[in-house]
Amino acid sequence: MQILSFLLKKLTYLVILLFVVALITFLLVSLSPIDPIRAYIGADMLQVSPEQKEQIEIYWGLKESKPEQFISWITSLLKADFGTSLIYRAPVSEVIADKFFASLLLMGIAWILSLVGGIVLGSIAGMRQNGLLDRIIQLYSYVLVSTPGFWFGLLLLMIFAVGLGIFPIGLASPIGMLEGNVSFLDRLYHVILPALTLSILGTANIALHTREKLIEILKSPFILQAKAQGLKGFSLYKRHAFRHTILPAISLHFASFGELFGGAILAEQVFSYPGLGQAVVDAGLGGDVPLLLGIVIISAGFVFVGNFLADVLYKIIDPRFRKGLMKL
Amino acid sequence: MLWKGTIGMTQGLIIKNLSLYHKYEKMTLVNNVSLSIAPSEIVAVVGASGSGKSLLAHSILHLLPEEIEQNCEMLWNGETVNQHNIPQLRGKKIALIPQTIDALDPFLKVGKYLLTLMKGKNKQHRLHKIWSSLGLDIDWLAYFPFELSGGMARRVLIASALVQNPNLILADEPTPGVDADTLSGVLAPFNQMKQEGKSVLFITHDFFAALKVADRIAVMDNGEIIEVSPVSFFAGDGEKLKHTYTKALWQALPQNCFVNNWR
Ligand SMILES: Nc1ncnc2c1ncn2[C@@H]1O[C@H](COP(=O)(O)OP(=O)(O)OP(=O)(O)O)[C@@H](O)[C@H]1O
Ligand SMILES: [Mg+2]
Repeated sequence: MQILSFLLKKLTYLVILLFVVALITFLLVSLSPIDPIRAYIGADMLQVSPEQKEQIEIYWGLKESKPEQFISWITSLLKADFGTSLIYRAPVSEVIADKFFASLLLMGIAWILSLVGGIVLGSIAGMRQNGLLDRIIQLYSYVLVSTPGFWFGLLLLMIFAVGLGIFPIGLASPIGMLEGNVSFLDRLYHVILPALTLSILGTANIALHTREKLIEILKSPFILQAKAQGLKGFSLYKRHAFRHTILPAISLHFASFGELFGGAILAEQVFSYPGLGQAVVDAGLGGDVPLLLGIVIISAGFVFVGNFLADVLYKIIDPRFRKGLMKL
Repeated sequence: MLWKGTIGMTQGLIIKNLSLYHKYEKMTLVNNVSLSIAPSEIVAVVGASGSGKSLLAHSILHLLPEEIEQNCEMLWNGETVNQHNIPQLRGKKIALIPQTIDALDPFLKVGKYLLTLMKGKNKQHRLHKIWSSLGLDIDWLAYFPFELSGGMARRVLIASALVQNPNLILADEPTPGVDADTLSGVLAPFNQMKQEGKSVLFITHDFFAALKVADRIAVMDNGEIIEVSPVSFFAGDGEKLKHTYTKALWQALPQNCFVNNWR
């Protein structure tokens, strides 16, 4: 019962969130100077007579009042109809699904690498508080946390792709290869450098957070008691500190899906990686309103899922929550 | 002078001139405390709140925070104890029953927690024996600490020291709120230790419990041990007791109040 009401609460929250996001993006787009017909027709606009233009406006519902437009948009959204992308000339849902896969690969790898790296570094630093290793890791983290992502990406690109030639300079697959012939290894090879950029930067944040949390945990009475029982070093960490430390780290990491997404947009620009991030930039520059709206809605949902997982995870790992959730 | 009784003693724990100094507050917390605990002996430490009892227990295990400077000479079975060899003694030879129940790891079921503290064969069997001797229900082994009542948690802490099978237990306030009837049950494991030639440092507010279980009673006041007397000295009007503070403690016991009023 409690699980059900928990899920129901989250679902309500999601619906409200998506509605608000949809409303705000709609308002912003209607205030923007983009003329959808001009954006759709492009250079051929000169050959369209004002009468024809008016016909299209009526057909597209542009003559209706803004609230009416909003309602009809929302209604088709509810039917999972996101409209047609103007620049890709394909249904928005298809474009997003296609781009999302590429981005998901990039973000997934970056997410896992930065989590594992961050926890390892943060734990070492915390266990060696104020030691040499701790100082090195802290310095490393503080420098990276304040490093701009695009700059770091360019740096890696220059060293590993241009200079050493180990990795490809950009794109998600070899140039000139047909979509069907691209193997998973090809994709992996192309995703490594952008993923590395994202994860090295993400690591720093997690490392600092983990370190701080671990130092706090090490002051707990149950750690003092574990020491009284003769535990120390790695076995002390493994038995009594590990779970307490990674829980907030993982939770934070889930909750920062938004930053991950933002980072991916930048990384995809730098590495010309054709993912959702690049699609959003193209949509913005090309006045592709349906695609832009679609991506905004999808990414809001994506960030929500991250926060949701962060919440659920706490409840699964921590027995106090777990029992509280299961009981009754 | 307190030292006299321990000359020639090689087994057990000897603490000589323990002083604890707070580096930042520039304050002496414990001053010149000497105490010994022989095998088969239960020594109680009584004293008001803040008199330094927990500090004493933690300093034996060298577990004080770094802002507290510890100076003392400590011998365990005739060998000097210091920062370097204390890790080998912790738990295995000298175990601590902590004062607060938040010393239990909230993420671990108590049964699992206790098993990981044990060494050797037949763990499950030994654990069950200790567990039921403390009047705990087998089902509770599957509980997380937050599911235990205060009294249950307290007995789990006692069990956590017993399962390690140490030679000395530092019991920091193991019996708070235990009524006179159940007291004997909770004290039984300590008497059992004594019979096996092991020792207990029994820290308590409960003067009554101290008299019941201990061989000697050390009275702590304001960071100093002002008196160590065998329980036999606690009799009659307390005329054998040295310190007025100790006499006052003794005379304040309910059964003695009656005697005093009657006179
Ligand atoms: N880490 C610390 N920093 C500063 N002062 C401390 C610290 N630990 C203990 N003290 C002080 O030392 C004194 C003795 O503390 P201790 O915990 O040993 O008291 P206690 O006799 O165990 O009291 P109680 O019976 O209430 O447990 C107290 O005045 C306390 O404020
Ligand atoms: Mg205390």
